[in-house]
Amino acid sequence: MTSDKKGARITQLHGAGGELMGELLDRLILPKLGRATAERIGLRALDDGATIACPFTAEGELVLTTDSHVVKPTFFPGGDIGLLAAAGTINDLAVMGARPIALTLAAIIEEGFLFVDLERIIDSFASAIESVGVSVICGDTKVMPAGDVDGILLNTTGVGIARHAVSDAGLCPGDRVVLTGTIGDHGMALLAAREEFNLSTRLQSDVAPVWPMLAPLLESPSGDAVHAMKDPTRGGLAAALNEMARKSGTCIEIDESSIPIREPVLGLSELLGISPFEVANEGKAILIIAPETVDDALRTLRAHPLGTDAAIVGTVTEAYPKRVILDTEVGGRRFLDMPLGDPVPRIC
Amino acid sequence: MRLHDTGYQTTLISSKIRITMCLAAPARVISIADTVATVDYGGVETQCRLETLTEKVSVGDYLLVHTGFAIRRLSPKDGEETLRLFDELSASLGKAEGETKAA
Amino acid sequence: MSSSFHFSDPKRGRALADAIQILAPPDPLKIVHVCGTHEMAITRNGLRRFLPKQVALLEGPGCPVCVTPARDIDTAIAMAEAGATLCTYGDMISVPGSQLSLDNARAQGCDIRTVLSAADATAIARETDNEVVFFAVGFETTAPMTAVLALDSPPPNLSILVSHKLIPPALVALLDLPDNRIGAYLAPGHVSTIIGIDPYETWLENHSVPVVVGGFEPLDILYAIALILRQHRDGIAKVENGYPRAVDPEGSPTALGLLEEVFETADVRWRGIGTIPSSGLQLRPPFKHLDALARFDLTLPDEQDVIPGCRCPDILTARAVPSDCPLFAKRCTPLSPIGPCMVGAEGACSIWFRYGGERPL
Repeated sequence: MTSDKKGARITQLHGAGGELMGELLDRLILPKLGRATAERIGLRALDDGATIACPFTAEGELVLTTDSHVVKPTFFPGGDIGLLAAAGTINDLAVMGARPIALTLAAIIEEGFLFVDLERIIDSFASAIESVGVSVICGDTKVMPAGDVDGILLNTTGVGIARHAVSDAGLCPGDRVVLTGTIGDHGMALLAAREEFNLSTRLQSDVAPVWPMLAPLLESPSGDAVHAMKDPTRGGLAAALNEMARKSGTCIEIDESSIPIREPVLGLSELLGISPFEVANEGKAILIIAPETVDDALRTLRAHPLGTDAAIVGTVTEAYPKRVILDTEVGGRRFLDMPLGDPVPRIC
Repeated sequence: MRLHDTGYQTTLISSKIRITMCLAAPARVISIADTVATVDYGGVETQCRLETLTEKVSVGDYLLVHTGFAIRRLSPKDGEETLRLFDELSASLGKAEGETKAA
Repeated sequence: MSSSFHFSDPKRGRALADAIQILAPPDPLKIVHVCGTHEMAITRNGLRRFLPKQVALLEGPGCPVCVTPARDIDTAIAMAEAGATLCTYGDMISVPGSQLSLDNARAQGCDIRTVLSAADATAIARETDNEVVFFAVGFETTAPMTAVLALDSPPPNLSILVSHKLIPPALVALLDLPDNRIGAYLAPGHVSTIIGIDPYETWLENHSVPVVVGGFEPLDILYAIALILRQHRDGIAKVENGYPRAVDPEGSPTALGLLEEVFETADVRWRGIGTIPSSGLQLRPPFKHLDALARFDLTLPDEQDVIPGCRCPDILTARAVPSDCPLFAKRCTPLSPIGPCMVGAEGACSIWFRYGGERPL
């Protein structure tokens, strides 16, 4: 098969729906993503669509999410676009309080893309979804002429089910703000990897599906005490907190010294002059939790490897509605405002 | 004189990097090769040049680095001395205040 | 950064804040600093909260991007338009000259590159036959690096567009402005690492204001403010070193030697302020062959430095704060900046906008 050749590349014929595309599916996509599922018509059927057995119970909500991923570089310290796409979508469902039940995957690939790279990406995607127990049930592949797309673009849609979906706006004064781990890892790791900075670090992206960490909390009776959630991706912690404050009309007061942050992230932020609060995180969640249950919630989160650094970092108040306040380490106080834009182009 | 919005994101990143002309965070010297030192900022390594530095530098010293060049050598005892200065000032004023109140 | 040099523990913060309250002056006092990094540190750490109401702490012309004259930017663009590869520190990329910014010019096809170090410009020049111009902006902390570039066997296709400025003359110029009401200076820590304490004494000998050199950690700044207030209380006006771990009275002889060898002083224009005598640098005769202005034959139109309605000139001279400008946060924002103080990442307006500097919380 053409893809067996060393240095083999994707051509437009691979996206054309004929023999070569069939080969691509049989030899690359299906073996990695087409594991048997309970679905009657799943990925292996290669039908026009896929089925999900109606999961409705007496109570419950179906949750959908969609994301497109264009990260550059495609392979970065700690992951690649495949892991990012899988984790990103699973995490969007997770912070809605939804158990992921199925994913779709569409790829738009530039003609000339290396097969081995595509294989790596699909492998990453497959491992990520396997760890969460969710499958890809349908997908699409397009190949664009060289130059019409930059490398590879992935789009994923996720379907999940929640007893009662959790919005990002349900904040109540008195609630506590919990971060599931260290802030700034992904954004800073990608910045550090840029050639022109001549930096060397072991710092890696934190990209990971967070559902396994959140599920024990969300699917327990204490789950109701989680009033709001958000994942701090583009725009970082600052953007996510500001959105939550604006939508709920409350004030969020954060204690700077409680924010978990790795030393290399601090070092990079000093070196590059970029705030760690404004860069993306891809394996973290912000949870707004009722004060009576927050200590138990913290214990539950910390029991999972992804949540060992989980910490209470602030409180919801009414001091300055729709704003976020930072109580600084030295004892000062200032606004933590919505960042002006993603300081790093195309990281998710 | 409005800015055009072209290439905004790239503008933002390059205008944010090295945003401060006085920016010089201390880094630990890991190795020295002639006029170039490899320095570590808490787990991030990079190089800096030594031509602008007066002090002699050894591995284990700390350097203030500005636009890729070292401007000052620091040692941890400099840090301790700084704390002593802070505490001395606070104490002298606290004491003076106490005396004024007592008088 | 190593915790040995991270001075921000709240206990000491409280102690220094108490000291500041004890030293609170009976009358209003305006303290001016001239360093964007100081303004960043003050605003990001929320330090104005610790100041007594009658003590104001303002940024003067401490943002090199903000005070670079429009003509220098226009010149850099003209050189790029003439085909040169223009290397600049990233901070300069979005500040408009009379019309365009370097970033606009890049979007129009000019070869303009941001560098993190003067050394990068040399490296670029070695890899091309094209004329390469290094746009040398910054104060005394940054000028020695340009000197190294000039001395380190620069390739024949490399030249320097010199736009360095000096801080002590600006301190005097501000004091000579009517209505300045400057009560004290917080002097920039890393400029002082290079120049030491003596230049402040020399330049300010006819003026009677306390000057304290301050570092950049939160506690460094609180400490320096306390020293200023103590001088003010005691009726003293001297130059004091509040950052001894990084500043020797004689400065850095090596760095000063580099400056002395390559540069001489010149009368230069500060955007929004005007010409300040002996406040800039130009290449000495042995290095004139590196002067980009001599290599390119350019005629530039008259520059428009300041925009009507924009209060950057008052803000740069510490006679107004960003929120005093009618355009601030309304028509003028970092996403659609009008004046240089909003464009420069170290400009007072840019910092206040991004970190909520408009009121102490």
